[in-house]
Amino acid sequence: MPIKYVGRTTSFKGKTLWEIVGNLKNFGVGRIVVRSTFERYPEPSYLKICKVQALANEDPRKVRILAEKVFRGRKYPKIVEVCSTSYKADYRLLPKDEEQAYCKTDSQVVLEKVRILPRTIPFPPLLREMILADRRAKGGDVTKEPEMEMIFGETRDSLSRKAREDEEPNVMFEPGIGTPRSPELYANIQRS
Amino acid sequence: MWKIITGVAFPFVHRRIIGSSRLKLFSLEKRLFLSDAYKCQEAWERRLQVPVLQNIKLDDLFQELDSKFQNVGKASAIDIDLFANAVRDESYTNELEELLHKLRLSPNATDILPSTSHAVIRYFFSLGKYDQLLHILNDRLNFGIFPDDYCCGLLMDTLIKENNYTGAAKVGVLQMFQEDWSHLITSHLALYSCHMYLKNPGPWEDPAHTEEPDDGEEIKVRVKYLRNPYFDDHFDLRDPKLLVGKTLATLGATIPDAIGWTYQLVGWGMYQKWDKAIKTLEKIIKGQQKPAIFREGVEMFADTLKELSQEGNNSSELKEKFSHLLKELESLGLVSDNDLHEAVTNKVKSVVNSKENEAIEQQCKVYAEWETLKQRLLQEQLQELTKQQRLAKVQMEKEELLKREEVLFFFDNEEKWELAIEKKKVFYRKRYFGKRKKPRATDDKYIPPEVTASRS
Repeated sequence: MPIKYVGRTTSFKGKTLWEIVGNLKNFGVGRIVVRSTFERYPEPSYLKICKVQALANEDPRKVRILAEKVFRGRKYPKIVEVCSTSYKADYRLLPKDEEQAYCKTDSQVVLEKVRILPRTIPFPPLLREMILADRRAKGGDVTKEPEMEMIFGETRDSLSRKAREDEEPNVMFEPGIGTPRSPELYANIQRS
Repeated sequence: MWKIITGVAFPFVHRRIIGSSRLKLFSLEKRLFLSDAYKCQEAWERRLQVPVLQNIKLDDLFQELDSKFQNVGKASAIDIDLFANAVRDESYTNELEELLHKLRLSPNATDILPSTSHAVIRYFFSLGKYDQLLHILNDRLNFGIFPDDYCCGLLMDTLIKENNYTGAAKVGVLQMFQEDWSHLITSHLALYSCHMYLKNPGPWEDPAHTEEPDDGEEIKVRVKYLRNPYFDDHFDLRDPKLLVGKTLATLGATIPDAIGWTYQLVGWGMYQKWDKAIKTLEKIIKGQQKPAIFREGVEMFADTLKELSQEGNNSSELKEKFSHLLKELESLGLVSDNDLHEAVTNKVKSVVNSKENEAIEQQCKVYAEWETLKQRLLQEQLQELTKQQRLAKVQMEKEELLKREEVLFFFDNEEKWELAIEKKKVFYRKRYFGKRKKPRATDDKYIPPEVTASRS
């Protein structure tokens, strides 16, 4: 009786982390594991396994791994935990002789937040007028430009952060469209 | 009657004489690689002198562990280690397998001690059940038993002595999966086993059990995500030629002399990685080491080239390239006519003899280390248990005190109790005793009017 599996399709190519790590002595500590979907980028991305902790059996079986992560040529400063994505059948083990050539540790950079975002940006024009009108009515200072305080969510993987008190931001938010990444979409617009 | 007695006694005596002489011959000629001292039998037996192991009753322990797995879902790895070390006779093989499997499926799979694998391998080894042992070793996802360097050497040596070259090659292949040829005894014995396997190839896998008759019905199994077909060229390999080829190729790369080069070439040929074979040939030619390769090896490689012709595509170019490179090898005089078998045997013997004593000492030290580790872990487990018990006791006492307090201070808190009783009251809606409305009668012949837009 042929068995037909019914379930959701994925575009993954590879094995689950447990299938790789469970086949190795000492659970593959020190080996390098690569995710197939991250191979679409030109820079190398991989995980170097540091510690493994098994979890209860389920289908597909997950495993908690602490690893040194390198994503697109940037190395994460802290050890990263891979647990909830370990069920994905997307991983492959890198043979020891290919490690050197694949990882390219010479061109690796530490992951740091290089884009510094401004602390305040100018208000949208209508809101700015309303604020100034409000100030005028209350007898406040109308000469100073109202500035909108920014709040950015900082995640572990992001490359941007909010500027500190004394820092100069290197990313400017201009009013208007600015320089779009796809100018052809804005070709017919009459911009002032 | 006298005749009958002698008739019965004679064959018995005869058998005994023959048996003992065979034993003598056995011990004389088969000192091949590792001596009996390598088995470290006394050191291994000494582990049974530990009081914990002496007081164990195996059946009880098995029952306890089984119930723990069923009730809690996990049992500690040290207990399974105790069981694995304490088993002696044949009746516990299935129980041991079951426990190992259950441990592997539990979250305690990472806690498995190295001494457990060692004990399991030695247990099956002492019983002589090599097939079952190989089955366990090959099913790493379900059992998690990995032979360490010492056990690899022991297994391969014994299997070679029994002329079970297929089994010995299988152990070599296991080591290839771990990509670890750093231990010299293991790597050289693996070389010898693969070499002898090539000379006497035998059936690799057990004959597949008969499948159930096809009813024509499909069994549909629900899974969360469908797996896309993926062949990783490593753990998924099943063909013995490819396996032994990969083993020889990776192994040969670690041996820096003619034998190494020979087997590297033969390995890549068997594994059908033609570009790597070309690179190896080019390196040999560039190296200009005399002698660089054995003629037998070149012939074996030429045999494997027959597979290439079946592949099609650019096989003719590759074939030409190979014949060109092989001719170059010949012309440069890099091919030696020495006996490959003799060379391999001598090399393996010399390396194994030189490293044997070191390995024995190392292993005895390791046994002592394992003892201390186990003691420490047992102590920790005991402390954990006593702590849990104390906490449970404290909890019970707290509950007792709470109950007594309620009773003693009842009249002081009477109003609070009454409020609490009020809160607990369940409010039920009143039953409706009035008229019930009839459902709207639908008219089957009703056609809704057409509404057109009108400007009015």
